[in-house]
Amino acid sequence: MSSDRQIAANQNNAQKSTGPSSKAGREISRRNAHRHGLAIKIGSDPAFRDEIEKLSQTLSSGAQFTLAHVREAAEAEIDLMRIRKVRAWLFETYYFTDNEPSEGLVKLNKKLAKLERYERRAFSRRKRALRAMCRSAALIPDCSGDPQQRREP
Amino acid sequence: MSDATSEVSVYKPTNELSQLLGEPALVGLEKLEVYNEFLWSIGSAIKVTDTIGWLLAKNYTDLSWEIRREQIIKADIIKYYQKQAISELIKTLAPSGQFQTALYRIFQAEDDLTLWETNPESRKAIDEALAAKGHSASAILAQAYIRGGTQIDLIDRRIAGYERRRDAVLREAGLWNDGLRQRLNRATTAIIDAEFTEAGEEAGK
Repeated sequence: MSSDRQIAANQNNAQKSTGPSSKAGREISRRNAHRHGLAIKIGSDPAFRDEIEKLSQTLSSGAQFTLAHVREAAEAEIDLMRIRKVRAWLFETYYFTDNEPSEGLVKLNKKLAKLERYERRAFSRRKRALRAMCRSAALIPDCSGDPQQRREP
Repeated sequence: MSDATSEVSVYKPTNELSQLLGEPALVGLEKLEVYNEFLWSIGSAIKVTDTIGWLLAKNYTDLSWEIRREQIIKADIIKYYQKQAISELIKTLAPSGQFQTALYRIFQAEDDLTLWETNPESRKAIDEALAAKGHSASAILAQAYIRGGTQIDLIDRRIAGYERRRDAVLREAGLWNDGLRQRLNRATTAIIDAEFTEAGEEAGK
């Protein structure tokens, strides 16, 4: 257990640390907590801005949907595509290699389990957005969105 | 039909829409042509007429594709553990006599295992010999399931998850258009049949 003197010295030394000072160093440390990027809301990622914009425009053409709902649906759909690409990459990296299939599968199963919650979240988000679009568009006569339906898997 | 072109009976998304829906995430030896045929057959079965219809059809196709992939991997894994079980049991086929047994275990067992894998006639003979020793084909398959149980269970859970999502896509389709949901529902049986047939064929290779 640290003595009071040691704790004080540690706190004093910590005050002197200002982290990385160079621009490159700061850029690297900024991404310390960034692993796969799936937790970041896709709408705030500039890499997907164009795709989301184009899909939003296509989805909204021909019907009077609320723009915010359309954008939400487009974001969720692009997110699902991104997750499927990550999944394919995991299969390629851990299973379709020269390793023993059982060995690769153990690693793959662990990684896929982590991916699952992101996909579930994106799927639910798209479902909610599509239902909201459906309700907002009086042009669709047989829209019967029921918010009381059970939660999606 | 503003967003999709139709030929005589095949519904395909326009190039622009295909780009928006994104390249399919294929792995291993999966072929783009096969995927596209699958997507178009679903599009044609449900007579997709708009972007949202194609979006749901694409999702339905992707989930069915994932199920098919997982089933093929599951079959591969069962085969892998089946071979592992055989590689141990095959040593019980050694001829009697200490020297003969040692020779067989060290030098011939591996060759016999290769024959079991590659030559149907040898496989039949080895299976019969193992059955005579009390290791029937079904018992060996059960051993394979036990060895790979944890991994197989995880694959099964993923398949169940994809199936639930596929059902959810059906319900979403129903929100937009009941006709679309009914046609997608009707196409389901044929798709599920195809999944099992194809996975079985892959496993039999």
